[in-house]
Amino acid sequence: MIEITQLKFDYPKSDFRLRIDGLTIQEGEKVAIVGPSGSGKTTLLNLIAGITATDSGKIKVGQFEVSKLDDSARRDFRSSQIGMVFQQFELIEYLSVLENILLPFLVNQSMQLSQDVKQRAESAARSMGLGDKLRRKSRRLSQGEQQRVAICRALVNEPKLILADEPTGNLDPKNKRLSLDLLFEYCDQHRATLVVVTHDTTVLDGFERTIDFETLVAMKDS
Amino acid sequence: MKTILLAWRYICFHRLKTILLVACVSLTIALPIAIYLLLNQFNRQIVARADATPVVIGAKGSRLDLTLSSLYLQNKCSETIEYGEVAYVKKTKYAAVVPLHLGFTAQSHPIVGTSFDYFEHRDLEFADGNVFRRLGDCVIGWRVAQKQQLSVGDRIKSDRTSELDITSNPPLYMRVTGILERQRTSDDEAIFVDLKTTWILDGIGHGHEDIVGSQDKLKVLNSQKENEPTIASPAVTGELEVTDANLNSFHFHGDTKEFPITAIVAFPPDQKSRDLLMGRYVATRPTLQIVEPTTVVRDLMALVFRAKKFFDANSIIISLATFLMLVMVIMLSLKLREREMETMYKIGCSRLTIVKLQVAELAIIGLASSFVIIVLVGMIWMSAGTIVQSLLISN
Repeated sequence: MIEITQLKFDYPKSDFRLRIDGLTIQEGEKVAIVGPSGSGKTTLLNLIAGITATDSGKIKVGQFEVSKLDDSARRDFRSSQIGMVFQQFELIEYLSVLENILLPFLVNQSMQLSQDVKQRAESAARSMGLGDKLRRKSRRLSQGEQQRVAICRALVNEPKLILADEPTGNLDPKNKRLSLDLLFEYCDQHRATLVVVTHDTTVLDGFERTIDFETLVAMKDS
Repeated sequence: MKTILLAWRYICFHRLKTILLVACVSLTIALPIAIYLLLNQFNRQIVARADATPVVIGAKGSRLDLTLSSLYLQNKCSETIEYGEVAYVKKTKYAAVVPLHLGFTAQSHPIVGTSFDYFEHRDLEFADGNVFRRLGDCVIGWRVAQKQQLSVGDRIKSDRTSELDITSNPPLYMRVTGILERQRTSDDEAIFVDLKTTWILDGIGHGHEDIVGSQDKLKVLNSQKENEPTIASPAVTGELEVTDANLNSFHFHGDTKEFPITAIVAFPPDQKSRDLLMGRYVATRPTLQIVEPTTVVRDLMALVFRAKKFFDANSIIISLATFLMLVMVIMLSLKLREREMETMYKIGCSRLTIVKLQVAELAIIGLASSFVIIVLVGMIWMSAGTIVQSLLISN
């Protein structure tokens, strides 16, 4: 599903450098990437998702060679193939729960917001216990509920790959477990790949593989 | 459509901010337009009234005060002229004349002492009743009738000239004999009486209560014996109302020619007569002045429009300041929404769509502001006549 070879990336005007010789993640695999804060885990997710362009090397996700796509193509790839979950949930405060879930369809002109999609979003929300809060504004939800909305948003386009950046960082133990279980359940049902970046080692037991980021990268301080 | 939906949601969520922005933009644009409309209307109305009042003669003093007094029937002149001046102008045969005597009020409406000719020269039609028939009768303007709920046959009492001065002339009850049709001029607010009625208000004329034979000890000081004059008590006041029964008791002390009037409105038939009349007055009447209200009003408006330039400059500066403030608000808003934009970008939104989103929000604010501006300006435009009229003629 994901193949990374000879990846090089530097932030301009910064001494941060990311070097990965090789990484392969199989389709349907649930992988946790652990490592200290600031080590480059989020950068790696951004590179895989095509949010950030590589300097050199190859990143291939399914049939897409992300490192060769232009900005527009990377955006379409991201919309159609990837679901993203963020640590701060990143819900839009002025939208309702349902509109937040449908956000990928609202902001991407190439994705059609059909009745099917709406029904799928409502169904996903109900399955996550948000059925009675669809019209509610996101800031009136609890932390756990907000993360469940964020997960619904990541899954609404039925992605083959889910990239989650510290998805449990702001949650209590009960909601941590619930959020991860929801992601695992989706991956099992859709044979989707899950890559979770975390520095929380208490949540690793459900993953099939754990990658220590420090041993993965060849990171050098200039 | 999706962009507009998102923009609309943002606008609705931040209602207060949106309302403030819309109010800010609307007022900045609507206010100068409203001032322009009102000023133009003001100019139109005052010039029209001045054009209908060819020449005014009054005591030497402020040309503007004399003009405004004769146009808007509110006494601003400190000096009066003698009634005999009316005969003088008539004798020249250069103009038809209408005397005006101002300075009294009834329920705060100006009382205008004049002659029947006033109604003819101003083309005033009666909605009800007719002109005054005798002393103490009055014709009221449309607004007076509306405000005071008066109809023909009702009475209206003049105001005391001074509430504190017990020696001032007592108020006079006046009988309404006619109500004018609506004119949309200062005539709507006025009460028209015969000149003699205003002279009674002046205290020059009065009536007496008949106490001969009266047994009222409060009114008669001596016991009334045959061949002895009746001595009235100070409690006997002058008549407060002219009735058919006491009409003959009213009389005036002094020479009518010397009685005061505020101004004479002259209506020369042609330009030559006007020039001759003006020339005559300038040459032979040094204690009086003759003015053409049109000239005075045009001078006044030229001054007003010169002053408006300062207002225009001020409006431009305020508009610029508002624009800069809007830019600052938008920039701060963009700064606060950086993470939101970044999230949208991460889940597949193009930078162009993000810009479109901002533009859509601004467009909605612009549309709302335009709507408010159109409504405000429309309201001002439709009611400019009434607003200016009430500014010019209300008491």
